[in-house]
Amino acid sequence: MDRDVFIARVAARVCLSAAGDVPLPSRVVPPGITASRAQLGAGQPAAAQPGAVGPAAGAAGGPPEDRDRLIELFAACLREAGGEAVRVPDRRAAEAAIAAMARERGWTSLSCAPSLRRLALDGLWTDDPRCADFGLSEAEWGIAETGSVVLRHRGDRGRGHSLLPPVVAFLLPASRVVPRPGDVLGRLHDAAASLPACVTFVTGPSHSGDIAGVMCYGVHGPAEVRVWLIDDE
Amino acid sequence: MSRRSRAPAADTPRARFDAVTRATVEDRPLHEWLDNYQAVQQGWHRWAHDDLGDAQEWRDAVAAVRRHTVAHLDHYLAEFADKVERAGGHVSFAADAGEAREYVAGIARRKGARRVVKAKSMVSEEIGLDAALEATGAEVTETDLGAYIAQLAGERPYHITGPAVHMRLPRIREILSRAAGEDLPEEPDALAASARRTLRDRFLTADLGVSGANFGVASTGTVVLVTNEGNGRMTTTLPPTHVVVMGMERLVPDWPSLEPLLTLLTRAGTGERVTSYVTAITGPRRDGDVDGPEELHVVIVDNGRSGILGTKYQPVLQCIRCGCCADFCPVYRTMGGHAYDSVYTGPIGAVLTPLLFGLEGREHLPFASTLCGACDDGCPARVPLSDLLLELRADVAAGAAGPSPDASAAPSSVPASGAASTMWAFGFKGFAAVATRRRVWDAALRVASGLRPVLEAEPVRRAGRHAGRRLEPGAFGRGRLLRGPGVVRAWTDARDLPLPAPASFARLWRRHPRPGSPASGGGSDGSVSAGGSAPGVRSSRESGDPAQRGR
Repeated sequence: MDRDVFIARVAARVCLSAAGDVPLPSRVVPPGITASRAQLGAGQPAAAQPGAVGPAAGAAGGPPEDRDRLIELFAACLREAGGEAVRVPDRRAAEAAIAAMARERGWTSLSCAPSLRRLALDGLWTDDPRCADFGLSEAEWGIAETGSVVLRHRGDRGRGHSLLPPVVAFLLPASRVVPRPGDVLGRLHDAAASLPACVTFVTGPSHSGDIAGVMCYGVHGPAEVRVWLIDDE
Repeated sequence: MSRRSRAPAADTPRARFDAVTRATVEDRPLHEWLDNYQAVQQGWHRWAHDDLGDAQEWRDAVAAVRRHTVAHLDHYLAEFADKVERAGGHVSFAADAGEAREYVAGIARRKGARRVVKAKSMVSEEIGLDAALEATGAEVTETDLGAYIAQLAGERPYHITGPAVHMRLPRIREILSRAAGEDLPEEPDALAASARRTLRDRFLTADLGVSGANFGVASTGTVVLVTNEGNGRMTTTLPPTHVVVMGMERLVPDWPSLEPLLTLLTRAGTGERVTSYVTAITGPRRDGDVDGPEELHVVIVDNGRSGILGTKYQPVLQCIRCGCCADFCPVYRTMGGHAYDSVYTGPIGAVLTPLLFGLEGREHLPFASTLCGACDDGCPARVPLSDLLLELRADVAAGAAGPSPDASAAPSSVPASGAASTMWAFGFKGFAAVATRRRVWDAALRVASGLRPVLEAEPVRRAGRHAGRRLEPGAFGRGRLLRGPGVVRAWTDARDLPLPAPASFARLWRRHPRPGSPASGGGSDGSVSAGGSAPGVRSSRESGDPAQRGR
């Protein structure tokens, strides 16, 4: 059907609505997710006050104790989702850990964006994640309340590195952990003009309960997910 | 209820409803399986909501966003379509299922697609897309594990979020073994691994990926997919062409208004804080991107939705398809997902199916509910499901169908069956006349008690023997009538009738005066005794006991 006809048809029906005008709440921000914080014995981070959505809302760049709390919450939620978070002092430590894993597990093919390829693992890197043993990606943000990492796929930061290999990992600067999903959504909203073709929120491994209600991991995507939180970034 | 007593023709929705319901009720292991499934889901639902602080406020937020969007749908549709096109995607508008199928099949033909992979999409099931794609010569594979199993079994989805929730391990092993051409072990991990191998190959060689959309963000033209397995990401990443088929009401104004929706969709649907993957797609791959589809098509489907707009049924468009109403519904667990004979199951299916596809022939669906309100309490978008079911019942009773789903469809008014509806009306007037007069009521109870021996000669089911696990043997204390004599059979065809008590509560009360209290059984006390003889209402409410919901 022609677009204009279609929309006019909808408009004609909308006018009939007895509901009349229903305003969109100016900012939809219900109360913070408090229970999980209480479990960790942490207070309410100042950044997660109702209404605090937008670029100014606190990433973990604030006072060190707030940052520690957010990172602790991030790690706890990721663990509950079946993933693992490891805090390392700097990028070198993460790279050493990857090298150790590769040796230990006998990986022969690691995939990541060329810009991330700074490791002394020459000969193992590939651009093609389809047959890689391991995939590495750079995360843009971390979300403490869900244990999610957020990826902006553009240029050489392909979608496949975090999807096709059986084991995947993410490098996440610790200062880029924000309290809640809304903090990321607010940032994406404000930067709408530079939105890439694909943004992905990844939380733990691929899983499904579709086989008789039993949880299986690695159904289509990776079965193992690790996040290295880099302290000095 | 005349329609219930009329012998239905062999292959009508009603006949299938009766057959499936009976089969499910009599299948004790299936019953226990569904019972357990719901209990587990409800547990995770609670776990995920405990996390939220005040979940009610979050539900208010979801409902506010959805109500607003639906009330301004024309505006957001135009904005969304503009933005998708600005990002390099193509947008088509389909008035009905036929148009939508034709658009997608046309894309498949133009691309010469031989292999199509699909990520679970309710609307593509709704419009019967698979058959249309297969007609172009393409091989079509559902890639959500549950949907894949259901496709191999040739079954409709049993549940909105779990297409194969009713299948137990041996059956799944059999289905996947046949597909794999080898004898697989009866272990979930091994079965999933086998499906992963088969489907990975299909992803890597597919020419076309078809997905649905959980949400469309109007302000940026972004399609948001919420998945757990990764098949959604595969479908939208690997094939060179990606087609999104979405219901036209699936929009949200902007990114911040996504927060409550994402927060509750997964908590209500699967009982998780968030699913493994939330994928936001804005147009096809850009210059310099190393992967992603080269072409993106978005097909926006009406198929009866605009006919719901502006009517008393408009709130049904707030639904975000989490499937949680089915996880709470005592009727769903009793009659099973296939009884709805629709892609939409559970209470939302009982409401949406007649609205989208016509009430005619589906008059039974709004009655497939005890109106206990468990679905209302669970719904993250505050869709007033019980109210809408009642409205549909009113439409059935008035002999007028709801909004005609399709302009071209035949008028869908229900032919009023004169004699039967007179009987129905007479029955209720008679009941009202008896129930509002104390003396007449007491006399009726005495007559009913006197009829007990006659009724007991009929096949009687002892409470707790055949009844579901949740019906404690002592809950009714009396037998229940499976097949009543004469006119009563019209009632017992669809319900069990508790036998009248030998003596009413009021009579017992009078015979056993408590010390210090007047031995009076009249007035409002007496109405309590009605329990034994206001059967249908009583029995249906018992099985939807709110106390069970707390489990």
